[in-house]
Amino acid sequence: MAEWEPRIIVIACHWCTYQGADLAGSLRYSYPPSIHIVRVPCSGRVEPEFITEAIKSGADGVFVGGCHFGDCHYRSGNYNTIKRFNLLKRALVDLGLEDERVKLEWISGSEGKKFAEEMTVFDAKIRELGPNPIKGGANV
Amino acid sequence: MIIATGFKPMSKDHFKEYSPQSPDVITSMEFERILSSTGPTGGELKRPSDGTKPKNIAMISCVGSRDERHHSYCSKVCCMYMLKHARILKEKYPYINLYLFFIDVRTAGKDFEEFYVYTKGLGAKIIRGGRVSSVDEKPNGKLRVRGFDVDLGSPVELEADLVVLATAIEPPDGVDELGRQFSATCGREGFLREVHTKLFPVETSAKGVLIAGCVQGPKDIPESIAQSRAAAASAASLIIPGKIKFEAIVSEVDKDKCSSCGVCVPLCPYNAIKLETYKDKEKAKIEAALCAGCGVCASACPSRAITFHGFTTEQILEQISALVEA
Repeated sequence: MAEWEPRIIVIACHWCTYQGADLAGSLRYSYPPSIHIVRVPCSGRVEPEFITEAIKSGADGVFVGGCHFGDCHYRSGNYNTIKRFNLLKRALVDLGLEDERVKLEWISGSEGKKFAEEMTVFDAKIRELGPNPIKGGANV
Repeated sequence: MIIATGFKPMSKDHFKEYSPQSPDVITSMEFERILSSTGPTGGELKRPSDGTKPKNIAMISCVGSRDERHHSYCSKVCCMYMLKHARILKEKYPYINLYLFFIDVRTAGKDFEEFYVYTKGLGAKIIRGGRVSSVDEKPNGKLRVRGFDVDLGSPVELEADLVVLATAIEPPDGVDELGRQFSATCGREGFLREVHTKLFPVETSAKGVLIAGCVQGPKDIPESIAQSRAAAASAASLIIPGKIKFEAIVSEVDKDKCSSCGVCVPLCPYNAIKLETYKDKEKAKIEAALCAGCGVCASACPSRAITFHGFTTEQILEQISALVEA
């Protein structure tokens, strides 16, 4: 069997983190190939189901990226994100998922370098944790 | 909708060091009225306390502006109107001694520097550097003004009959509440914020709500007029076509699925969601022209009654599963 490679889903807001990813590319900052980006208009669009579905279908890590507070293109979307995210995280931990497997971070459109660094750090963390323990659903 | 509330001059009562209790310490706005032929004195220069003609007048700039205790910003117009007052006074009453205290003289703009040079030539004394430290009432009814002169490199003290404070331009009371009502946001200093300083100077984050004049920040009359004409033109360009174009990436409510919980209504940053009666029940309705397409409502809807066109739940979940499984 081939060696395990992590699969990481990054849900990025269009105005900040996605632009940051774009900038990371134009500045030639490299980040791991395990990163797979899904674009949403705002991190406030992220439904908890997106994260749970990703975990359930086998993603080894989920990273949500939004704008810094006060920078949200839609004024207040990221405040909703953090509230929902923290609630969901508690539930995921109860289901037996490691705390570090889901992460929320604010990365602005000018932070290409930060994007690449965050991705590298997150990828390393997921490699350390190993494959997703509740792939296919948790037994509760 | 164009918001043009103007500004509020800061009250002198905030400045205990400048003896605000003295009737002879006045703000520039009050001084403007004293100089005006339609003002309380009929245009005659009089001291408010005893009605005598002042011989020594001190004017103090940056009272509340460029001061971290009050407002960090520059009120922009004070240097020029102080010079205007000085010019009016000196042309009308050349024998009056006039002292103008500035941190620095900011006369940027067409013909403004020439105005400054001309006023200086009329004999107004310009004292630059530092802030006036105190204005005290003396037993003889005069006022003692103490400051610093950077050109002399030493403290200065003088006796004045009248002290005029160029107090800061402030956003008017209640502008934050007004902004909230129209979903326009206030900046750090309490002025309404434009979308972009250079490219969208009259637009607010609420579509169709425009701002002009000092409600956006301190500015002089030509700038206010230019901005108000820009706001009028922007408003006209929205109205004249008779139709409003908006992005297709908006949310829509399936009223038959809506459970009338109202969770989405306060969440919308643009106040685009209202409850309205549909089949005898209150159902959410999204005004597509106001919706900016963030999708916050769609994520929050417990009944999945809101479809966010372009980024539907199905589309995103499909993307996620494709990426995970590929």
